[in-house]
Amino acid sequence: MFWKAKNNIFRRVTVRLTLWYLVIFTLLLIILFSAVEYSLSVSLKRRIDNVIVQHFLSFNWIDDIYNDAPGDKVNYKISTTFYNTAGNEKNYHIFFVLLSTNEELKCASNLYRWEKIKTTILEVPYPVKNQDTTLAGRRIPETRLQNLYYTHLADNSLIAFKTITTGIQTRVGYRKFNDGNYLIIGVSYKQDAWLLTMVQRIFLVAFAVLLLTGGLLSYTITKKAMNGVTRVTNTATSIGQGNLQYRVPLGREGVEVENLAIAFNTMLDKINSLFLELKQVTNNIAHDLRSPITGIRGMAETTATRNSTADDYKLTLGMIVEECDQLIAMVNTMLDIAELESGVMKLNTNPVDLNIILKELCELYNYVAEDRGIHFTCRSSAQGAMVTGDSILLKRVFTNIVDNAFKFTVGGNIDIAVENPDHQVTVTVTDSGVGISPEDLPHIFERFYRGDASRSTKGNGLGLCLALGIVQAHGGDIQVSSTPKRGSRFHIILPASS
Amino acid sequence: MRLLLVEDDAQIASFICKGFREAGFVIDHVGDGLSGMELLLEEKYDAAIVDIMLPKLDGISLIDRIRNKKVITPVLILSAKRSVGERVEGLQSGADDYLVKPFAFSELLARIQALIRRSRNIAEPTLLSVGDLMMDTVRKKVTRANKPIDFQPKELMLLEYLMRNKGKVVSKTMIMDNVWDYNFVPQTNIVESCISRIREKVDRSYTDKLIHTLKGIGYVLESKE
Repeated sequence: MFWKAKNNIFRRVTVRLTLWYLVIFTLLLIILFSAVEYSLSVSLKRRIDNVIVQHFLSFNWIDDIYNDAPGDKVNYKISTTFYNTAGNEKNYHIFFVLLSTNEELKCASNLYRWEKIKTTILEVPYPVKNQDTTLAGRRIPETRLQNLYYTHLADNSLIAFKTITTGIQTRVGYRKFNDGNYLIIGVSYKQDAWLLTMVQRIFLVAFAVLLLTGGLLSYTITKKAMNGVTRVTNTATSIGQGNLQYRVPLGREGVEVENLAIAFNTMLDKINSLFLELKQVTNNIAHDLRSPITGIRGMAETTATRNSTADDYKLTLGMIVEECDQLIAMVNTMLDIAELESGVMKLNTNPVDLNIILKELCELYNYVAEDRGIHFTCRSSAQGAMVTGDSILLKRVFTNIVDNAFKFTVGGNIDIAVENPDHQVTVTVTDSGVGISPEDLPHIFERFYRGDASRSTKGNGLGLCLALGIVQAHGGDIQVSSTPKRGSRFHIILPASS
Repeated sequence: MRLLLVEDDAQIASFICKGFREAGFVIDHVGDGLSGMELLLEEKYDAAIVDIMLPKLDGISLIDRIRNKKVITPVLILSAKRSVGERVEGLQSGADDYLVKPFAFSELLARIQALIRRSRNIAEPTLLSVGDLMMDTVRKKVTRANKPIDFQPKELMLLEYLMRNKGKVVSKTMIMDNVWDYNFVPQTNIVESCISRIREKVDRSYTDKLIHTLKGIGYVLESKE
């Protein structure tokens, strides 16, 4: 559902990036080809203009002849030259015309190809007629004749160029001789136009090919880059379906995607551990809270359904109160452990003297030791035992461990020693009690774990777990060694305050 | 003495009311914060017990409002939450004490009495007596039938607590917490051991036994004669 709703093709990053790429690519290509075409057409025009100018120069003699001896003989000579230069097959793209002062056709080469636009050709532009040199080098827009262009020859005479695009495409140059006659030279640029068309066609084909390959390429590259994202998405989807074990496989798309995958996996690890924690707490509630409740219920039920005396009721109610107190303590401890393990618990830290805490604890347990015939010794550290920590929590650590020692020791010895080796304060609680079996030893700090020896005694299996949690929150550690039937030794190590 | 209980849980309210009536208090009970506030503004109470989670107006806001109206009735907050933040918030709003559910009734009674004493500026007595047992808390001297008895410091603390709560049940948790400042339920019988020391010194050679055990619940110090 989630995936389909977002599956609109234009909302995909791959498609969007490809489209963007194509748009930019097209714009760049159009600019590039326009520039090429423009400079090509300009250079072609310039080439033609050069040809025209060369011819003007080569016909300078006409001016001289006309000045010296006008007449049919001269006309004939000029016409012949015109025909010879333009008339053969090879040069048929060029024509020459000589006009008289009053613009009558005097001599011309073969004008057959230009018959249709002859009038346009023979119309001499105004600036040439009047030799208006101020217009040199300018383009003059004119209603009928566009692209007029004026330039000077080496002898400072004015030449006008005009492009005729109707009929046969021609570039025409005009020059006025000193005697008032006009020389008109035209060159068909049909071949150049053809060349430009070809260039345009090639451009279109190249454009299509480039666009197609560019699009495909960008699609492939983007898709490859987005692969990592797709993998993260796929993993997230499978997790959404309930499998927290999935992790995003690391690929080679680059650091960004790799970091995304690593961050995602780290988050998954955290979620998974919280999830397991929750699961465990649920299990604990299911098993470890139900059995004492069953006990309470059973006591109440049997007392209520039998012919019990008032004393029986009192006894049962007392037991129920006691059991409830144990349950409350257990729930509180569970919450404390959960807070410690999730890092939510705030430590109210102050300088704490472990010598004092343990001295008070020993005073309290002296009575139990006397009652049980236990040889109980307490040794404080002469160098002081200052640590920085939460005194209420630290007290619970030592009461839990000392209480455990008394719980599992009948007769024998219990010894508490506070020592202060370099930068550490250690409290060692040694007992000669039942000890811990090697099978149980690795598990005693687990929540609700109770060894075989412990099962028959009071307790909820949370004390050591809480103690370790508190000590670790203070940057310390607890080490245990034990021999079954010989006793156990707990080392509580805390960093000394400087 | 007159108390007000603002608590929406009928079962808890009924056992609190019953307990206080038996202890000689007059107690009124309402089930929501607004009526609780109105009563506190109109009537004169010696102390109030207020739950935090209440319909219509929560306990913290209730205390906030009555304190703004200069009502100085001491208030004890009851809460199901046990976080330190909650406790601080409750006390900052003007509450005088804080008790986490579930609690022992005897503890609630002891705290309410202490609150009332404090609000009336009654100094804690330094000379305590139960029957012919006397204690001078300043000079740390204990006598029974005028014969001096010696105690260890921890024993003396416990005996003083029992004497101050004479006739009332004191649970093991209360002893651990209030006498020795240990917030835990021991699995060994340290309280019993200490009580048996005191009992040995106080009751052994007398027929009027003062220290009584309620199995599972706690201890009472009282003279039956």
